[in-house]
Amino acid sequence: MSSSTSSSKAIEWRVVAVLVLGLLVAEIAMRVLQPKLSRDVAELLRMPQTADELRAHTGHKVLLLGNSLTRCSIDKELLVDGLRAQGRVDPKVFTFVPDGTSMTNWDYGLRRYFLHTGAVPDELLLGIGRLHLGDVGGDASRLARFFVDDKDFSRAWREDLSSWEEKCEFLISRFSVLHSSRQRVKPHVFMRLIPHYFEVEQSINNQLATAQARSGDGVIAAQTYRHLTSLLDSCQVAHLQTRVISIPLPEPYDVADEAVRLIHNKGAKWLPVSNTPGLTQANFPDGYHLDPDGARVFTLRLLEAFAAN
Amino acid sequence: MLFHTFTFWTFFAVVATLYSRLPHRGQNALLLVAGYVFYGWWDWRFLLLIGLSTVVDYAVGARIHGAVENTERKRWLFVSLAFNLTLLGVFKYLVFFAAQVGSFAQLLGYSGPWWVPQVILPVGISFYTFQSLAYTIEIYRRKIEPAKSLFDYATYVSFFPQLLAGPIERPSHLLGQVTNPRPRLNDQRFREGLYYVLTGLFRKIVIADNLAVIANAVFAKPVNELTGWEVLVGTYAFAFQIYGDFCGYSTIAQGLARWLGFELMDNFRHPYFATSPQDFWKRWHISLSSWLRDYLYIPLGGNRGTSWFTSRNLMITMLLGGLWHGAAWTFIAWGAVHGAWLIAHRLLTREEKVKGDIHKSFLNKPIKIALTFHTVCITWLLFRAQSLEQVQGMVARMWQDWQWTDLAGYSFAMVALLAGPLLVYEWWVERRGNLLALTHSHWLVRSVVYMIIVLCILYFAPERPSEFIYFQF
Repeated sequence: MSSSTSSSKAIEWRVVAVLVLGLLVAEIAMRVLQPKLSRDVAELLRMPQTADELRAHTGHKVLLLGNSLTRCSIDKELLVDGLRAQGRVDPKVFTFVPDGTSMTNWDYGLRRYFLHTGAVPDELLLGIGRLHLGDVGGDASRLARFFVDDKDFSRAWREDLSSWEEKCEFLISRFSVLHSSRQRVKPHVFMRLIPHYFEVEQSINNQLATAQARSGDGVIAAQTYRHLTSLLDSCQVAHLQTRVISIPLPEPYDVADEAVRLIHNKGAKWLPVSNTPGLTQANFPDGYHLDPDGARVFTLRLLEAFAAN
Repeated sequence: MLFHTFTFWTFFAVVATLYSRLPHRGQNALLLVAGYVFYGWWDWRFLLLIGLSTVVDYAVGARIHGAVENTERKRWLFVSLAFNLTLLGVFKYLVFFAAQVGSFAQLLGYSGPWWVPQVILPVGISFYTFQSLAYTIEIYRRKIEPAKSLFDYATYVSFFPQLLAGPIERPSHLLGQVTNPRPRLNDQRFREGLYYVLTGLFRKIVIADNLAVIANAVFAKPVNELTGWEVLVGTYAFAFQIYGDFCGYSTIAQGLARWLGFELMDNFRHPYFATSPQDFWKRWHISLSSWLRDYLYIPLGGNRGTSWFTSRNLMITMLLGGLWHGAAWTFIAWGAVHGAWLIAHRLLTREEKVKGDIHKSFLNKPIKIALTFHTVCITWLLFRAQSLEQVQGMVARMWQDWQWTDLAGYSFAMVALLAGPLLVYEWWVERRGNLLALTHSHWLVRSVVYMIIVLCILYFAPERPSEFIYFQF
């Protein structure tokens, strides 16, 4: 690919220059539009502000960590009232519950927004579902953009990015919002142009997952708890009282004994309250998340468990 | 190492940087090493296979060239044919044929255990085997001289841009480019390479991979749960998926080669604008159809005999063409249907040809294009289905249930949204009669088109890159 001194050489470089310029403009536009891409992104972008508020609060600080499962299952007002009734002074609940996250994201996110910035709560409530305690390969783009900070960069690079593809994805997403947001634009566009986009996509995903499970492609590898260990270690170092809560799902589930032992060994409390009496299938209108009535029932059950522990 | 991954582009950046600093022989050495690294990336064990194929065909080529007697030349050609076809037979067809013999034995009453070997299909084996065969056949026909060194020949066989899925190059075209110094990168080569790479990536990532979701969903659904519309739209989705996928690969290969100073043949020329089955096969996978024409159809007698004789040759060629794609009855049936269609079309248009009236046919061009396009699309059902039973069931659904469902509406809109603009663009290129028409437009026009392409690649890519369909062949 050596160069030539042809007089017309500059022409195609002009095309490349326009492309680069166009991408820069798109990058700036995406940085401006980013909060509008999804409620989730807007919330993640607000996390430094949430951390500031937590740091400034003088009363009892509770951080609710999890994903949409936790967000929908806990009635914040009821929880605050209950905590006050149990003797906490001026309790306030702060939330870090981005959609589609699990232990890898929570471990890095807790460190990035709270522990590394000195915004240490008094109490951490970690809400988990059936598969959230173990390590799962995270979305490298999202990890780079919203969860891993500079202090954890080398650790994530070493431990969580197994392939060169993931490393490149991580690196580019760290610097480019245009790249890190790429999975969020398609649904916005297709939703407007394709009839029944979400419903059909969801049904196709379910169908493929079932087919995969049938063919044995979806076999889950031996579970590891590297990030749960790391998160609990961080909490211990920060003298943070930690409660790990199992959130109700439509079907009852168990958590691996190994994970429960680990939670106890690291000084955290395990509250297996997912099997809450009074909840019915009707409380799961979308087949996964609790409705507000269910959230109230579950929050009361949770407060009972707090009182007993 | 897929063309649309960071891994490949890191690899290519390293290769291209070193390549630009080396003299001709050094470039060839680098290409050889790069080809073997690229191939070994999939499964290093198969390096032995490509190495063996290279050494055997190089040695046989020299023997054919050196032989004085015709019988000796024929004997050495037979050795090459036997060797290459055995490789294909063992790695590609053995499992299928063993299973068929087992089924047949069961039909005859055999109820004991039956051995079906477990063989992994080496990626791209059909492509490099055919490229190797072309070398010995061309030497036999005295159309080319054998390569001067094993090193040059190995570079020709393992040229990484087209190693896994073609175009299946002829030695008369590619070998000379290996042995002679290549032109350095200039503005025109850079421009053409950029055009090929960007449009190829667009075809693969935006068109093929998005339509793959629909095709996979429709073809994975139990047949009795499908409606006629779903089968129809799913089949059209696959028609554009396979086109975007395969044409995308070939186009990217052309672009990479162009940047390295090579020229690869065009493998596709807007096949969905073909006006007849003959025309379709002059536009679709051109490197394979011309290979089959030159090394199978013509040696069988081509169209030099009676109508029946020509039909027989056409059918044999298409059946083997179908089988080349994979060891399954669906591929054989796909080849048979195309063979029958070619024969029928040939017989139906014979009179017009005799009268020289072919252009005054009662069907005008748009109708011919539409008929050919829809017929080709329907034949893809055979190609994509897992079994003939599935084909039968899906065809039956098209006679029974024409319910318009959410999936049908979604699929139709996706096909229209993705394939529609592609067809409009290809029509524009077709009218100009030059596949590189866009590279002759004003640079600002190109910039805007490329910007749209890059943004589409960025934003409409699926979450994970998928393999190219033709790797399995």
